[in-house]
Amino acid sequence: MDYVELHAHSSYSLLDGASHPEELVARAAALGMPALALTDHDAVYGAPAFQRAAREHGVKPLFGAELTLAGGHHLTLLVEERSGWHNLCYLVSRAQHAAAKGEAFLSPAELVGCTGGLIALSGCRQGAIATALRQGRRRQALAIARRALRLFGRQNFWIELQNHLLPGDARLQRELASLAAYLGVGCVATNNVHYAEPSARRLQDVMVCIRHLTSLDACHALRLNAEYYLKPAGEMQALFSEHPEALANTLRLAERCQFELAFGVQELPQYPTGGMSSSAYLRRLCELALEERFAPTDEQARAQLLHELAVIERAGLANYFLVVWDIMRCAREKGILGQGRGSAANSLVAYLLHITPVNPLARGLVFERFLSDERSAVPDIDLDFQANRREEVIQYVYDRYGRDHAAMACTFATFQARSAARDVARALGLSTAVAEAAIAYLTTGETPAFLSEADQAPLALLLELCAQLEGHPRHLGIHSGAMVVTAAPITSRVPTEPATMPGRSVVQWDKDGLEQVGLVKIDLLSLRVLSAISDTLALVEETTGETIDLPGLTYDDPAVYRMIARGDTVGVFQVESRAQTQMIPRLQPRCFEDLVVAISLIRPGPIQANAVHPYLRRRAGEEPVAYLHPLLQPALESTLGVLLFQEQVLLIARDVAGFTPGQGELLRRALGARQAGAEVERLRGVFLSGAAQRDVPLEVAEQIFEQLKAFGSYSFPRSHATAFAVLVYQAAWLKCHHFLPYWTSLLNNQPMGFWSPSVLVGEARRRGVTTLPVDVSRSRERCSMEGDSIRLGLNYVRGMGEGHAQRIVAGREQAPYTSLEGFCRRTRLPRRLVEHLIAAGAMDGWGVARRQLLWQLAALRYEAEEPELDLSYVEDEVSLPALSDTESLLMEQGVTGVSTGEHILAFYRAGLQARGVLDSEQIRGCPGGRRVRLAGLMVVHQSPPTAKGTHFVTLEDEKGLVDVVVRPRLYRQVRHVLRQPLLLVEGIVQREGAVSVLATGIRRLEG
Amino acid sequence: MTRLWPQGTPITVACDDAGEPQRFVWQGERHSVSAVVGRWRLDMEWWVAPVRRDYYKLSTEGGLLVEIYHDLAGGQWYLQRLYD
Repeated sequence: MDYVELHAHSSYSLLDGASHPEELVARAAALGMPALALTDHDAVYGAPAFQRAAREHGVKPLFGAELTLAGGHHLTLLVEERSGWHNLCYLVSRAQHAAAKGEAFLSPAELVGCTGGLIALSGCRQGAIATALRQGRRRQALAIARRALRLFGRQNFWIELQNHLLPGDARLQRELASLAAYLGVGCVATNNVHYAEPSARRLQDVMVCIRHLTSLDACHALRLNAEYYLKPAGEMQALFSEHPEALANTLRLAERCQFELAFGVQELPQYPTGGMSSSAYLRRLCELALEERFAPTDEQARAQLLHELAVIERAGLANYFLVVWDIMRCAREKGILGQGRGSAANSLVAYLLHITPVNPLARGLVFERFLSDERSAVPDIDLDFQANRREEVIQYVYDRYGRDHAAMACTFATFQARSAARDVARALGLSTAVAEAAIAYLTTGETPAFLSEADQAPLALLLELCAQLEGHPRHLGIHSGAMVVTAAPITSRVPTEPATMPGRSVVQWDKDGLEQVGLVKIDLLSLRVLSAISDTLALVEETTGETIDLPGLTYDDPAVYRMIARGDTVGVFQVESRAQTQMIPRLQPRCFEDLVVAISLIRPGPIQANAVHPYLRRRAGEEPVAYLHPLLQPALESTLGVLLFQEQVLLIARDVAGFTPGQGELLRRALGARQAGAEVERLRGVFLSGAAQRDVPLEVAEQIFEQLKAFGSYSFPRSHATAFAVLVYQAAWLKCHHFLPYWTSLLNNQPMGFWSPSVLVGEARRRGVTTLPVDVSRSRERCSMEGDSIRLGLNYVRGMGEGHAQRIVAGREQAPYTSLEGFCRRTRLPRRLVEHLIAAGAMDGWGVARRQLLWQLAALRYEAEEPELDLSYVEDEVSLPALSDTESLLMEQGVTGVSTGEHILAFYRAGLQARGVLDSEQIRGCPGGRRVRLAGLMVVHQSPPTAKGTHFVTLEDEKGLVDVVVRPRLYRQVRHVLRQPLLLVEGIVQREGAVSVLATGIRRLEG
Repeated sequence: MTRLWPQGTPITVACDDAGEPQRFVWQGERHSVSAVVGRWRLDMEWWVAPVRRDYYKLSTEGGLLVEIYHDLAGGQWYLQRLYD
């Protein structure tokens, strides 16, 4: 006798279910269960993962949810067919929107008219009917059942029987069955599953405690036994021996439910084309753009356009492109900088529509990497917008399609073992010492010595539960920027919930889930460098009246490439990291394509931090440019015979084995997939036979295929690197030709990039551009240009809110600030903020020492805007020693994060020079192999996983930055020293294009 | 009046093939089970001293109504309650 579980919770019943949907499915499959329902609380978060796992295991997925009704009762709903799914999504949305975030309840009246296609089960012990019976209110139970019968109909309302061997369960089962018989309604048996295996009961108890913020000892909501696992038919039979039909009915219902989650591009709203077909409209747009941007004789462009439009039309994607084009067009009209990233840059259509910034022709880009007849799924078009104005783009989409037709994809914050440790420790009732020991162990792998004998076992239990908890969803996280737009009301396709931001809603699926079920999303991402570029253009216009023609740049300014090639890349998007600055001088980029290569070479992967890349060797002439076979040359020539780009895999497959580019893309994906196995073998056969037809010797063809396998999955999308290279060039060009406004804009858009504002200020100083400190009489709300200098903005003072800054500026416009007292009384800023301003040197302009000002502040009585403890005393004037230069500097750095005066190393320089310690400029001039000592402020400390224990430290002094390499053995000796900011390093200069120092000893800098 | 043994008083129980109690001996006296009136399972307190018990509420042929449980960890049976 078979059985199907119709009521099961995964961990997407947040902090209530203890198994992933995949685990439930796997167990169902192991038990030979033909189908399984997923009914999470007021949500379908897990439905996409559930469907995918179910298909993989050959289990039929049944969809549904357990709704919480107003009053707290539970109702189990199953989707019988498509209309049921629409109604379920609608009802779940109503339940979510009716309550505070994280809660849901549905008013029963909402069920009226929304029950079509749904099968209702009367619920668990907390169902309205079961509750009434348990309380002895038979008449009420009957009335509720009759209402449900009217709402759902006799075929679609079933009484749910459960037996968890709780006291009273047997009796409740009898009474429910008797009620069902009385009404002529059927019964189904369910187990209200909360975990797949009985052993997960512990995790479930812990989750409940976390939810109730209490310990296991104190929790009243724990279940009395461990019977809530997915049970085999045999066990269910024993529990329902008096009602065998209840088990058989589970199969009947499972068979009736016929629904799968499968959406497509047809769900998108139609872009209004005034009667033309989307394809025709798209064609017209492209043709107009072609005329405008290409020569009339450009046959290649015309042919490519026709080809792309044909593929797009066959894939049914014309409308999709119009929707994306429309969003970009709106951004452009509002002057918001934005561009597409990723594989979209392979498309000429995308370029013509101003979705992407580069012309793919003659750049080695391949359309089929983006879209082809062989792979015509909706392509991912990700759009980057300037971070500070992305919200306007999002609002445009809401306005254009309607609040009921647009929503953001959700994200799930999951438990991490370390951050979960405190929650689990509290649930177990363990002391903070044990919790800290667990965190220490999870961080370093070592149990701290302070832990007592008695605490060892609890620690082990804590660690075990943390490991089990890890990866389960904790709550909804910050949304991602992916938007879903639908022609039908969105709540008929997927439930929505209110987002934390007012006026926004999120759907119950994340990007992965949406992709799995085929619901189209458009990624609207933020990129701060675009904000910095935009701000720079505005500053230039404001101060000089000049309008920089960004689209008009020709990407071939030698001064820009010279700057990049010498490693002068601090502040330049994508190429400023330590790893980049070490590599770029070897690369010596001279043209735009070299920037594309630079971006692609440095990434995590099997390329060891110190391993020399074959491309760089060939570029330096250390190795000849060679091809395994001449047929490889067209694809690999631009990269000196080395396979760097994903697009090259497609070209090679075409040139060597006659694959269509679309087939080449399928090959590339198969090579990159984790469990490709059989497919890769099959494609290998096709590749070899195609190669044979082109007279490629078998061993050579095999070698080429092996190379595709080895490098193919680590190669980078050229299109993405190309789109980003545009921004690299723009940033570099601005740094090169408009340093002051660009740097001011960088400082105004932190945090961004690789370096801290402190390093940026140092860079400016080294180029002769002073950064002036915060000044209450001169600083604006944000950093600004003052003559040839940068004036730090009020935004750099810790604790300064926008409102505070505005008050200072507004007050100053009425009359200047001439004293502390006047300033405080007029701005009424909170005392600690005034302290910060003093510490930042913002009031130095009055010629009063900072210590004096702080003293005055303590004695000053004024009405700050926030009520404060009045701890002032009236004191006589006191004469205080002035702050030393270093103290001043550290004080400023403490509240602003930067020091606008000298670099701190300047105060040590005389002494260092006397001891023969070099500065960074001198280091840069040393020959390789020389033993040196240098000192500096540590501004970066990295230990990339690929470096296998080698650490990289960057030191900064008045003259610049030096990279220091710390091998694992030395690191173990000096790891504590590396917590100090000022270091003295002994080591050997290494010159490999760029300069670095291989450390032999590191000490704290003293004196 | 009900007699309750909070810690349970040990008894020996004979079960049938399905594990259902048939007879038990308490304080030297034999009792035959006439009906299992209720059963439930407790599995609690796993984090301190686990309580894992199968409970049975039984009527005996001698007219008694009792609550016994089987301690699943140790295997011993106990009489918990005697109803009047």
